[in-house]
Amino acid sequence: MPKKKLFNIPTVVMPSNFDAAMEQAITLELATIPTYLSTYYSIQRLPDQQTLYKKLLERMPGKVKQAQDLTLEIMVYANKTAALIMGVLIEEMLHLALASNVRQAICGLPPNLMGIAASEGFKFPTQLDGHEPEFPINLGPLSLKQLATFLKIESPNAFELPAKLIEERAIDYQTIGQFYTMIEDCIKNHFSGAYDLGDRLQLTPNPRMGVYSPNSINTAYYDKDHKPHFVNQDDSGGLVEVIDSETALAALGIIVEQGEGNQDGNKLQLDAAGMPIPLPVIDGKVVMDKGDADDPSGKELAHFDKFYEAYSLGYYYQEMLAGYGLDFFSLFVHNQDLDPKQADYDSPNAKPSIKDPKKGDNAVAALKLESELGNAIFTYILLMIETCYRTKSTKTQFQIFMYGVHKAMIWLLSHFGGNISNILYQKKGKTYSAALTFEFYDFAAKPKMRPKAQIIELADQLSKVWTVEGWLSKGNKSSAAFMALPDIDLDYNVKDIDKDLGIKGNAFPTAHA
Amino acid sequence: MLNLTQPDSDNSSIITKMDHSDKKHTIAPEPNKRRQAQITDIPSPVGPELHVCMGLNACKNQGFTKKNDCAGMGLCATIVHACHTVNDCRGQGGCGLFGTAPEFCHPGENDCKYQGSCGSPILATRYFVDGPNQGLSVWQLARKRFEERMSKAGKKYGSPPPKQAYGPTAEFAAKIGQYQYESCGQSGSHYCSFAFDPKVKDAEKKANREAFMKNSSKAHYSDEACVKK
Repeated sequence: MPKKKLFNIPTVVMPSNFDAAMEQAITLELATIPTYLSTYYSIQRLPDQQTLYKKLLERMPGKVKQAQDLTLEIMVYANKTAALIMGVLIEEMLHLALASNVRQAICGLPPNLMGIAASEGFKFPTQLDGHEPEFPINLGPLSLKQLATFLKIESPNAFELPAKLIEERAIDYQTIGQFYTMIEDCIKNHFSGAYDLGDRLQLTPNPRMGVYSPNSINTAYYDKDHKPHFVNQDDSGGLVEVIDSETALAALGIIVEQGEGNQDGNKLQLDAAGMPIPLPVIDGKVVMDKGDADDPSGKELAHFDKFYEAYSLGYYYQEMLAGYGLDFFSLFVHNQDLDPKQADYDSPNAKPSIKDPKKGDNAVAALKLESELGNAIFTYILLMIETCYRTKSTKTQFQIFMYGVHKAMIWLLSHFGGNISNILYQKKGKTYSAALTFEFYDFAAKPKMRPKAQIIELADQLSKVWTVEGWLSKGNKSSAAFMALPDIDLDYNVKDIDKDLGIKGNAFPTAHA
Repeated sequence: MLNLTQPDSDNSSIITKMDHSDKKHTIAPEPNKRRQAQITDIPSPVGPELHVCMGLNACKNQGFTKKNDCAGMGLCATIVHACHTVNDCRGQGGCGLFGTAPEFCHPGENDCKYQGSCGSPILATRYFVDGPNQGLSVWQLARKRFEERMSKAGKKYGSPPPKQAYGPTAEFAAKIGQYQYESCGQSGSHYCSFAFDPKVKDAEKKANREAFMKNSSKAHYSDEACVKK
């Protein structure tokens, strides 16, 4: 059990420590992002149908129809589970913004994301500070154990671990919802009414174009008939501009409702080993509760229930395939370490190898640089989000979010998170697929070079040592388009975005009414 | 109202060809399937008007092949880009898969460089993942918006090729030498089938695609949430 915490909080929330409580709320939301993302990247959403079928048929000779049906069920499970995790992740990003909006409005302070990410407590494995009982959170691949961790994070009810797993610790709160209740009570009692917002910007429901969408193509999955489904719904809540206590409570309410759902839904129950007791599966479907939805239309499951569905169905298939001598998750999940580190990759014992090497590829340099670049992009995303709360210009904020945060999340981080799994490495006698490590990248180590320039330099170096990343070379126009991020220094100074990115005309969206 | 010509666009932009087959995992360019190409490498020369798909050209001979008789009759896009926020210019957002609900209401109508939602060309199978038109065809709304613009400007326009009335299919795009962005993202191909028999698989793919296109054509495209305050 890890001893370090994200940081320590008091047992009650009062005006004197409200800022610290909101900092913890932001830390809680931020801490979920690397772990959910890492698990998401471990999933092969589209495993090869024929390869999977042959593996199954080998273990159930002559049962062609059964093997075919099971192949499809596994393919749908892989794709759907990934979509569910991505759906949660998108809403965690929303929660990060909502918590930051509350802090900005009431405390007059932007989120300190870079500081949090640089802290010792943010190194994985870590744990949710103040959560009782404690449990480790890591960057592991999809598994029942990992889904069990996700369930504990999002649990709507206080749960107890078996006595042998509990460590002594003062109780601060038991669920994220209870923690937010303490914050809400403090707002009701001490921060009621309208707030003086000054010129401090929040991420808001932009009236002209918007910056938040609950779905992307990555939250879609296809059923056995190849019909698309979307795991999130528009009516489950979006960005809220916090202008008074009413909107502050509305923002916090979305966080709790989307995370834990309402109190009428399923609850987390653990068995003697500390693992969740799966929900029943009938005709290949998990029996969910009517109260598991988090939106008025009843179509979107809360985070807890999304994970409970994935856990229960995963448990069902794991049990079934164990009967055929197969490990369910290894059929479509990369064999990734629980907590990969840059130091693992830089170790002389790593002996990395590229799965499909080309002439001239340098696996050692490729692994080092791909991982460093992933960390640099992740850290830069945090810098960009922070700057959205520090700039005084709504246009600059919009451009940072749209051209920076969106592009870096959708394209860059996602690309490196997927592509790095094409490198294998050794650690303590075992072979793993490489994964992003989500470690803080210290841009300040090169004080004469702005962060964006450092990212472009890393990309250029990577392009020279790994053929498949050749497109990242400085002279390549595709690289230029994907690296066309707002240029922000560590002091939050933003270079003129229009000039820097060559944007002409109306750089701020007009109304199409 | 957009200016349908794009004077500040760069015809010589290097673009990237991407394979969005259902084996794709990353949404960023899959390195071993990508190549660099000058836009002038595409077999048919492009004209100065840059637009995102079939039937969205504002003038005669301004489609992909430069051989269309009238506005709205071009065979395909004259610009190619991969996704959200990497378009070179205004009016080049393909829309549908990444972006926000307001963006999804205006395929091909973004105001500025990098404000485009999703790639171009918009093939017939592309659908909206969010917003009031979730699940419906992007191309069909793009065409609707085009017709609205042309009507407002008092300009005449023709129909796209009759066999591609719901937008260009991947096969059609391949036939004329255009890029084929079936879908982008990690969830797989929209109309792909899970059938094990190749003939059944092909038939199901075709049926899925045709059902999607016809259903979209019968649907009411909502402007709810599209009007920006």
